[in-house]
Amino acid sequence: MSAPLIETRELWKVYDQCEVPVVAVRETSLSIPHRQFVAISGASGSGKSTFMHLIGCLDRPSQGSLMFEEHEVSKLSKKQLAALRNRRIGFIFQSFNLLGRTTVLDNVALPLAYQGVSLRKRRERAAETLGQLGLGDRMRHLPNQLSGGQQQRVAIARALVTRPAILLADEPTGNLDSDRAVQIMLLFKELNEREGITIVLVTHEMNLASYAARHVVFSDGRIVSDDAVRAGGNGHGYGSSEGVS
Amino acid sequence: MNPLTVVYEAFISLSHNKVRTGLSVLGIVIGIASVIAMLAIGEGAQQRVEREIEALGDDWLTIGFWGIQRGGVRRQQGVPPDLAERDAVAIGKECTAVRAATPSNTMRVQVVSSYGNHQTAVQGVYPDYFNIRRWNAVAGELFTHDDMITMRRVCCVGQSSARELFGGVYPIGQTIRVNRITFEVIGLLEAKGSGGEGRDFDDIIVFPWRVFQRLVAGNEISQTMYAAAAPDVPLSVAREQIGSLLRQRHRLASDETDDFRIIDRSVAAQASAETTRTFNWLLTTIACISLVVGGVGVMNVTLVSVTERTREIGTRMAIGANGTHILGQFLTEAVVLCGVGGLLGFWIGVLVAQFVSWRLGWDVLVSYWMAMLAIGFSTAVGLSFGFYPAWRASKLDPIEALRYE
Repeated sequence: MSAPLIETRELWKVYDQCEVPVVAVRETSLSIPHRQFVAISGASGSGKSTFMHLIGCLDRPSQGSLMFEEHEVSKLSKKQLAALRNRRIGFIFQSFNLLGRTTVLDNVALPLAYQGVSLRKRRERAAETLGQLGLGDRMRHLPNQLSGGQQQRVAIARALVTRPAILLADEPTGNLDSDRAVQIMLLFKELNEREGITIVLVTHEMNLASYAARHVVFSDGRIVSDDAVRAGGNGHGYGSSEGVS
Repeated sequence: MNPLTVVYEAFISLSHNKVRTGLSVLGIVIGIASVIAMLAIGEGAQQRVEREIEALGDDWLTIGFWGIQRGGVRRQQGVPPDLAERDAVAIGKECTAVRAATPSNTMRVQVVSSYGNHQTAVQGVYPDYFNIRRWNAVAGELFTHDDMITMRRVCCVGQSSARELFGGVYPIGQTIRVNRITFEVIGLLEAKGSGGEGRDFDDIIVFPWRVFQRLVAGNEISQTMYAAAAPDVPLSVAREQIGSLLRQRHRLASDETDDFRIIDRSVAAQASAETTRTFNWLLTTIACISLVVGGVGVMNVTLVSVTERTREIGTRMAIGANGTHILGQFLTEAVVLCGVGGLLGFWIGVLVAQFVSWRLGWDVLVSYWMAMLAIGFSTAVGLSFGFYPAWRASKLDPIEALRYE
């Protein structure tokens, strides 16, 4: 068994700018192996989003260790974190966060621009990724000319275009109706099973969490439950609860 | 990130909010336009003054006896008719600081050629005059001392006079008549241009001194001399020597004032050039103030743009932009904004200058370096006033930026 993609050990995140320090994540240990589809749920304020930001290298932990592949995240500079996000992580947001004045094609090509890929090459790759997601005929449109489900698929294409190791989806279906939500979940499942991409899905909807191979529940900054909902088809049915007091 | 991509993105985002972009660019346009207009007008004035100095030359003096009072009496009677010539010869011989000197007699007469006639200035001088004024013939030749002594009836014509008298005909070998006396044109003088007050230095015909005095001048007594400083000798030294020689020759007691006057015309021209320069600086400085005001406008609009697009900045950071990318993006937007304003301002400035020249008849001069300056200035304004907002954008925390509503 190879090393996990992400491994946290007694991870803390404390916001101490305010008078009363706020503990968002406390003493959390979790290991996410390659090719796993993990759902993280919990009430709002439970620390699941902060945890996702930490493993997404958007923020550095206050204490504890966070390994992303072979990197100790707290030791990386801001620039290195940006490069890591750019090459290894794909983000998907609840409100899609597409650039409104930019065509679908250039939205998807944007992460490659930060890698210094030439315009022609990155448009080629963006078009290819959009084609795989069934959006080949929407490339010249602006995001607001598409439906919500299509916009989220564009955002997924943008996350996938750099061929990342992991997709981090923060309430990706929060702005979609249930049919579209199911479609997005099936897409995730397919990406996970066919392409072997690790997916971390943050959601508060229990029925969506059931699409994942493993379900982790946060409460008050800690993991309160961690189980393999299904022993997923990728052979990494981690069932043990780690770091639960 | 590819710089072309950055510029392209800047154009996209600026074109999104056209009214705001237009308004914020207006300050830069007005600033650059006024700088360019002031420079064009200033350069025009400067060049006019310089042309005048060039035409005058700066190493020669005019010495005259006109209207000098001596003991309360105007010293007109009693002046020997050939005083100017004798003094000039003495100056040329005795003053070591003088390279050449000549008497001169100038008047306006009607000159007749076989093609027409023309009222023009005629001047009798020693051939040294051409040396003093550094004046050459572009066709034919200048008259010489031999021509003067042998009383040859020849002359050299200035460009404007030649045009008036002969039209397009080659003037060398043609004849003109002054006081019914026929002279042969042997030289066409190079153009000297025009000076202030609409004076045309080329509307002149120059004759050898003696034949002019005998046949053209009549009773007109010469009261003028010209002298030029020797090479590498300051004009002030020549002036000093001439002054003391003339005082000595005119037997002036030490308590008597000069009965002559020495004029250095280039001094006046230099002073006027200096004034013009100072004025140009003043005008340009005032114009620069409006440019700074424009820069503040750009800073303001970039700050607003950063605030408005906080979410976008967060998204860009999440998908891999680092601080440098974000800084570059907003700095480029400010620079592109100012650059476009600079180009626009340049053309408007040129139009304003041309309008001024058309309405007021001032000389204006637009040169390529002004376009460079406009681009350079506006880019510098964009860089300096765009830096703070762009820097603030680059320092945003990605998570807070993503959460920003």
